[in-house]
Amino acid sequence: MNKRFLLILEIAIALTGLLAGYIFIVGKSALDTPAVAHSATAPDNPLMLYLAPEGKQRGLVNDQKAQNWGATPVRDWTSARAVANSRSLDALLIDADMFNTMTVDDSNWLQAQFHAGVIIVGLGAEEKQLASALGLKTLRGPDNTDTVVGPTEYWLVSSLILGHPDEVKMMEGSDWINRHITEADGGGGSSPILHYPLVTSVRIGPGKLDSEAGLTELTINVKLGIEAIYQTRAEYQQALKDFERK
Amino acid sequence: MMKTNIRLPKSIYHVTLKFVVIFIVASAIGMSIGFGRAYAESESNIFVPNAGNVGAAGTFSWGGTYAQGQTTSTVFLYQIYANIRFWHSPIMYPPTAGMRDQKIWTNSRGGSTAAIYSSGYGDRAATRSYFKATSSSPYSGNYYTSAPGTTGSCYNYWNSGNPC
Repeated sequence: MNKRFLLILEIAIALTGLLAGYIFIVGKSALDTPAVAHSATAPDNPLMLYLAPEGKQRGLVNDQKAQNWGATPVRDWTSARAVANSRSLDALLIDADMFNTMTVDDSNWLQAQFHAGVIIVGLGAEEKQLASALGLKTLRGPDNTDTVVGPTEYWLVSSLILGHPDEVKMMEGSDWINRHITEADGGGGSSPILHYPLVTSVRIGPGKLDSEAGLTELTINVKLGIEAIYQTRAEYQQALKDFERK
Repeated sequence: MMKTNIRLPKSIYHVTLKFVVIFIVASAIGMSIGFGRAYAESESNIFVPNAGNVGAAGTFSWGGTYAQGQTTSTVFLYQIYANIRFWHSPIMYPPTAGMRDQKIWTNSRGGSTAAIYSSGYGDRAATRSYFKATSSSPYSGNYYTSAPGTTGSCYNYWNSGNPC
C-alpha cells in the first residue's frame, strides 16, 4: 500500500480517537454550549481591605491571616475610605466590631461600594446587622431562612447591575436587589419592562472562620467573586455589541 | 467440490492492528484531557415558549469542589435566569446552605454564573435555570442540573438540599 496514504490514514484515525475519547468524558454538551468565559481582565492583585480593630482575632482570622490572603488591614472607616479613594476596591472584609463605630456617612459609602460590585464580607456579623448596613431587608433567601451566623462565622455578599443608565435607574427604583434575594424567581417577574441588555447578579453565602477549610472556602469564594465581577462586565460589553448587530 | 482457501496478506492484519492500537491510545489521551478539565451535567435544545428549542442549561464542576452554572440561548431572549448553590449535605446530618450565585440576563443570550467553591465532603452544586422569550411570554418552566451530575437535579434538592 502507498506509505503516504497509510500515514494520512493513521493520523486521521488518531484524531478521531482523540476526539472520541474527549467527547466520551466531557460530553456532547461541551461542544454544543458556548465556552465558559474567562476572567481575563481581573487585576493580578485585587484591592482587598480587612477592616478590624488592632489585634483582633475572630476564629482563625487575624491581621496575619488577612495579609497572607493579600488583604490590607485597616483600623477605621476613614482609613478604609481613604485607601478606596486612591484605587478601585474589590473586596472589603469587615469585622463585626467595626459596625459599632460606623457613621451614617460610612454606611452610605459602604452601600455605594456594595452597589458598585465590591465583595463585602461581614466577619461574625449578624445577618440583620450586615443587611441593615447594606440597605437590605435580609440576606436570607427562600432557601435558607433558618441560616444563623455566629461570632466565628461570616456572610459574604455582592451585587452588580449593568445596563442602559435609564433602565438601571428604573431597576434601582424597583428595589431589584431585595427582590433578587427574597423572591422565588429572583424578582424577574416583577421587574420593569426593559428594552436593552441588562444583567443583574447577586452572590450570597455563609461560612465558617474557625477552621482552615472554612478560611480556604472564604478566600477562594472572595477571589472567585472578584473575577466574576470583571467577567460579567466583559460579558455585558459583548452582549451590547451582539444586541447592536442583531 | 472445489475448496477455496482465501488468505489475506499478513500486511493487512498488521496494518489493521496498527490502526486499532492508534485509535485506542488516542482515545485514552482524549479521555485524560477531558477528565482533568471539567465534568458537566447539561441539557440542550430546551423548549422556550414563543422561541422554540433554543435553551441550554448546565452545571459544570472541576477539582471536585468548584462549580459554575450556565444558562444560554441560541437566540436573544427577554429573560434568562441562572442560580447555582452549594449544599453541604453529609449523609447523616441536615443539609446546610452554602455559597450561591444568581444572575438574570435581560435581552441577551445568557451566560454563566460566577464560580463557587465548597470545602466540604459530599457537597453538591445544583443550578436552576429558566427562560422567557418576550416580556409577555410565559416562563419556560424550571430546569435543574447538578454536579455531581444527576445527583441533585430536582427542585427538592436545589431548594432544600434534600434528596430528589
